[in-house]
Amino acid sequence: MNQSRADLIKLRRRIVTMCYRAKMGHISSALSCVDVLYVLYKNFLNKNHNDFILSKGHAAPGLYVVLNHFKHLKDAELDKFGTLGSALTSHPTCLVPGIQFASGALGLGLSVGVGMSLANKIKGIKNRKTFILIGDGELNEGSVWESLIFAGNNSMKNLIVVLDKNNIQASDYSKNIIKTDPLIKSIKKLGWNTVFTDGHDTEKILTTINSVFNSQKPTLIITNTIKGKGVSFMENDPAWHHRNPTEEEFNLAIKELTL
Amino acid sequence: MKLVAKNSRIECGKTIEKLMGIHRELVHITTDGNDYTHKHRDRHFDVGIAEGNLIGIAAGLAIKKLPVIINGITSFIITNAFMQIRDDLCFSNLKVIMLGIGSGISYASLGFTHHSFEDIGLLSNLPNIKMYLPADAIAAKKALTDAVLRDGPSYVRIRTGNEPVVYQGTHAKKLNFSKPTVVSEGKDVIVFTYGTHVFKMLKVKNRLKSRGVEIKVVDVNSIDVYPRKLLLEEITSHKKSFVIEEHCVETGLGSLMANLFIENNIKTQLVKIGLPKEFCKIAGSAEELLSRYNLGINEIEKMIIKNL
Ligand SMILES: [Mg+2]
Repeated sequence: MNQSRADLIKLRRRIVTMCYRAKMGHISSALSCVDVLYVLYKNFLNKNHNDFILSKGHAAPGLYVVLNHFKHLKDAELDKFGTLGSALTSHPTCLVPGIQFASGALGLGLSVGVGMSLANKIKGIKNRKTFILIGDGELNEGSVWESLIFAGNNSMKNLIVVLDKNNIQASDYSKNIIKTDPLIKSIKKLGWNTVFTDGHDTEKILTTINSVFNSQKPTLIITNTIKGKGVSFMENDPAWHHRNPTEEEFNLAIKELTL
Repeated sequence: MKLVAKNSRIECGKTIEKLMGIHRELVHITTDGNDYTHKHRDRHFDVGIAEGNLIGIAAGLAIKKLPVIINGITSFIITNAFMQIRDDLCFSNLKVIMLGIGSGISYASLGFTHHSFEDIGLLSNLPNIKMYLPADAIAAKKALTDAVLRDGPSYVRIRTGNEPVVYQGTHAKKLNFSKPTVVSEGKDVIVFTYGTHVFKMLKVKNRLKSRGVEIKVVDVNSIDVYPRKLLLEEITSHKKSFVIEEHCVETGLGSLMANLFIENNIKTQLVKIGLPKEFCKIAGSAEELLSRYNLGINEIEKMIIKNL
């Protein structure tokens, strides 16, 4: 087994464990995008070369374990997730070391990322990328489209948006609420470079990001993912957006997440 | 003194250009207001008609330590982008200055969609933001200059059109946004007001002087942490207080003052004159509409006499 796979099994186990202990946290959303977060922090964010915003704030447990893995967040702090007085809430804020922006209300992160990228441009910092991770449900938000239009119009080439396309949002499959595929096609028409990859294959994620680094347009990387990835009974089930496992379910999940 | 009228919107535009020349990192963003300022185009952006994106982008710039001035129509920015103001700006205490144009009912016949009678009330709920309520174009310019030097988000509330200038001559030096400005002393009643009603109150004061009534006029030039203690000192020095404001009086300065009275067990009377909690459903000039709401000079004079 390669290092990344081993790391990610460990990270998934930490996500499930900390959420089970705290009796909170959107486990399946975190499991959906933890591979992308791992690749981003391992290759692009570790030395503060680029900027990152988790726009789908409910995936915070995934961000916390990745920040901890790469030594931005101490074990002692991670262990306090959800406990009284801890800065580690179910949605992330800038009070947590390594996090620049407080998110939780959906649809806000992309605009802020556009502003950060614009700041780099004004300062004359070339090639510093701004990564923004958004959920597919977030594409329902009008504010996301305001920023997609602006970034496309202004050819903001240092903007890389990763869409965690797990086809599920809070209450149901996206296809039963607002269909995602036509929206993705529209984004291309707005002046965006769009590419697809497997959001659970770390090598493919890395190759895809590297392949768009010199794009002259802003890039949307659509990562096809499975919500709840890694725990069979959580996978692709909308009910697990909010649920916290019972003791029996927790033990089963840990068993599945063993090297 | 000669009556001078200035347009706050135009004066603020000049000030933004000037400030961008002094503060080389200051960014200006408009929302379909590309004609507003002309210099420093490398730090000027127009996001189109998209208030949420306007505030979000400003937040991103401020996270990267570039201060931002945004401007737009008050009623659109504050209500449409309230979530961004709350989550993006106020939580992280970012240096973004929102210049709100056409506040109160100054857009008159444009109708209720363009009126803002709830902006101060809404923003009063939020931590960290300072609200500047300039009385005239001179105060508005000074408010922007002050806001650029402070940490955290600010809101500068201006109207539209030409307005008489209060802060000239002897008044000019009094203005300071760290405390309410006493623009006129008087022993009988005390009036707390802001915006263009400061000038109106000076007119009313002169009229009532001939009737033997002396009014102290306090310009509550901003709402921040300061008013509580300092306003309290002013209240207790008079037997009767009035609040006069071009905002819903239930949620604006009137509400803030009423709370002070209750919390401090002040037994003197407080009379609140402001916009009612209702939508304006008719056309008319700003002055005509203000008169209908008892906020014209004649009506204020009558209301004060009635409540003496
Ligand atoms: Mg989703």
